[in-house]
Amino acid sequence: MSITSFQFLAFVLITFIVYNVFPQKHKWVVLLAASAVFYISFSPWGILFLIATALIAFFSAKQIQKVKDAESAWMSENKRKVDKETRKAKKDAFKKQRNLWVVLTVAVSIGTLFMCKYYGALAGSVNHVWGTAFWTAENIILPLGISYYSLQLIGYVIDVSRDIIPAEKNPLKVVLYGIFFLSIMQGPFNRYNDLMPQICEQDRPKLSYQRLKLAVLKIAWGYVKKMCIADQVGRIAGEVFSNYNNYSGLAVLLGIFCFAVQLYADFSGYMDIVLGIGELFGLKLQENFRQPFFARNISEFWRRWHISLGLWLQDYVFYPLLKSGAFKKLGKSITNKMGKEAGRRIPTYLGMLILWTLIGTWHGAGFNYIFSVGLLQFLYVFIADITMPLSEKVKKKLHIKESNIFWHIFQSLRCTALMMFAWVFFNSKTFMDAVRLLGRLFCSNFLSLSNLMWIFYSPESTMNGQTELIWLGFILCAVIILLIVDFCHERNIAIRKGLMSKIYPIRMILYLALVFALLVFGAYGDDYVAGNFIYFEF
Amino acid sequence: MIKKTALFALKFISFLIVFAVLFGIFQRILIPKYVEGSTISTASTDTFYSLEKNSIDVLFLGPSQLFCSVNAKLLNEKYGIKAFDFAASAQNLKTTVYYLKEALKTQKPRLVMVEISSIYWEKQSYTEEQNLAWNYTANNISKEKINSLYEISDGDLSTVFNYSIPLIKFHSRWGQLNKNDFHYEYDKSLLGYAPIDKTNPVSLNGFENTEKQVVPDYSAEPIKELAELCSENGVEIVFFKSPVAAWTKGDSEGVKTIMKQFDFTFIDFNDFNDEIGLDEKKDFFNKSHLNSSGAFKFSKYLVQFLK
Repeated sequence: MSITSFQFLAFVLITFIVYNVFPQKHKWVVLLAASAVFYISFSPWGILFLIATALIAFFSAKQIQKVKDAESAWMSENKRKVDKETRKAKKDAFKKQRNLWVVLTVAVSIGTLFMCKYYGALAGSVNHVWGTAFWTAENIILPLGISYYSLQLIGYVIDVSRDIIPAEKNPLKVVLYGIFFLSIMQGPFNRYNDLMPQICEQDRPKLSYQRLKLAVLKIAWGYVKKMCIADQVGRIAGEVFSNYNNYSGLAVLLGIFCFAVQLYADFSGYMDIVLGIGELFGLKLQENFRQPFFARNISEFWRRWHISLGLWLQDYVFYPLLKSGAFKKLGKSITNKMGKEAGRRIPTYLGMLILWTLIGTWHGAGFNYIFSVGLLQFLYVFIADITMPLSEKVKKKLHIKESNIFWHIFQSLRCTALMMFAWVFFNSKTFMDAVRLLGRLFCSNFLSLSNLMWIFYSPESTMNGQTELIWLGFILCAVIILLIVDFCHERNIAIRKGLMSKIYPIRMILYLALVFALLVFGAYGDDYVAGNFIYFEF
Repeated sequence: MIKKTALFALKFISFLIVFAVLFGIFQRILIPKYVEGSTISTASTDTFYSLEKNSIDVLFLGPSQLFCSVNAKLLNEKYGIKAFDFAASAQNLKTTVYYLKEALKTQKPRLVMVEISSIYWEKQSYTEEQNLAWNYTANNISKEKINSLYEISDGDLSTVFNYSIPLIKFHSRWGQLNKNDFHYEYDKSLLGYAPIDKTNPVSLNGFENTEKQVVPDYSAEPIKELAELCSENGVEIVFFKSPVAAWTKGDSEGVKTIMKQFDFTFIDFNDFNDEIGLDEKKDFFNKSHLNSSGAFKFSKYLVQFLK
């Protein structure tokens, strides 16, 4: 069932009612049952993969806990009895045992992820290039949310190993952590010690009318972003990207711009929906967006976009990599040969390269993903870093203050342009399609308006028959509204609470605006094919 | 507590009222407007709803063959016959039943004239999206409209829903709006008539084809229903076929057979092309429709049957 379907709304309503009727102690069971129903509606056989991965994580964490308990017991008994060397050796031995279980969990999770998501494409490419006939795993299903739950469960086991949380005693709670219906499709990546204590809390306050209104408002706004903005501007993006040979100049630019708006509204709209539903259940899920288009540089952008993925990779891949023995060795070796600065920077850059390659790969097996949200992002960050001394010099000479609003706007626009360029590769079928589409930008007179209008006049265009001024006006209004909301959030203005405190006529205008936005501009009905959320594909 | 509940109820009711008003406005703007050329059902329906009660003497019902051939304005202004063309493109006989029911709510004509061009149409054409749009979009929501949609779609609830609340069906037109959607020009004095000034020569030789057709049951049923409705309301009913080039003697025989069987009055005006004075080179828009010149001649001829 799609999140934009009536079935999903009915599902949430029923779950909500049952959840509130159940006693506090067992509310988590309701969420587990609901999550299972939700999952099976998408992927009836895939649930077996998820349960198996979750049980392996549960079992591994339990074993790690046993090792930790054994280590604690040994340390308290023998700390004063043995020398430092023996203590270190014993500690290392315990660590090795813990790591064995971590490695098992990682191997099973990543191995399953690889087989289900990547192996087929890889085998197909090898067969195509080398003329071999490797099995391409067409019959292997892609379990729903495998890219999400695999990493979440790995994170759980690593957190147990790092002593951040004790191992869970109830396997069903670990399954719930993996399968939780609000984050299985597109995240956010939860941390066990953030999510599960909330779900299992015994003294949660009852849902107030005020909290209900705020949650419904957030959900409604999420639907407006998805159905009214993302799905609508996505029609133009889809038309230009699918038929870029028909377009040039401003039309291509509009298509690229619309895809950026679509991607943001789609993903952040989904987040608003699930976070709002979470609020209905008294849960505070991880925010995944923090006004990304206000970022001044690419590094900051990725701290504001898909925040939970970035944090997960930072905590479980990047930092452990940099702290690893191999990297420390590499750093020492480079320091000896090239100096302290190089010894510090090169391992960091190497770590970042691995990190970004993983981010790109996580999105998909195609080179366009690895390039657009992987290698290209690394290149952006790398170039920004190595040119920082030069750009600081230029800023000083031009007396540009970092706090200057116009400088901030320039930086944000620059960052947005760089991301829009990257997203061309992200949204194209192949790398070469992206290159050709970008080439179409400069095919004819770039500023010619007739190029732009061709999107609406071309007989083959899916936008033929639509009124161009209405659409351009709609895109402009949508972007302005998104910017205003983001600007308020950037200034820590609590929009929902502020609006709810206004007099009733103002609130009524808001409710009516949301309802009619959905009724009139919503992408539903016979004329639309229900659009999947973009990040659902990952 | 009571004060709080009363306040909540007041807020809720005020919300519903404003919602209903805005819903009606948005729906009116977003539904397609058929107001020009050979499709004028929106204009025709709007004109009908603006008429005074009991101001129609002769009510014409049927598809586009009707509103292209019967010049209701001429009948009113020159001959004093208070006529109205309550028609829509591709209107089938089942939908005509609904149109008659709708008309009888506010009008009490002495005569109902039903144009039966749709008698041999395929049943699946009844639920083609464009045909449904022409016939139901502009009409007010009512029990009769919902029942008609339900019957015509064999109980398909999404069809009933889409055309009972056409905002749901047509909301995607927001990207195609033009000035007609906010205000359209239509001469109400045309009274449902659609003058077409284009001419395409036709051949009337096809009428001589005598291969007899059989009226299908799904067309016979609404004919009986129309006659019953008129009988219940004390209204005379006459079925007729307007002169067209795409009609044959065989078609005519089929209809005459069934009308005789039911003892209903049927006039096939294709039998009187010479008396009407139709010129196959000048009086037709296409094989199925008269142009304004042909409509003038036909409407003049019709007067003797209406007085």
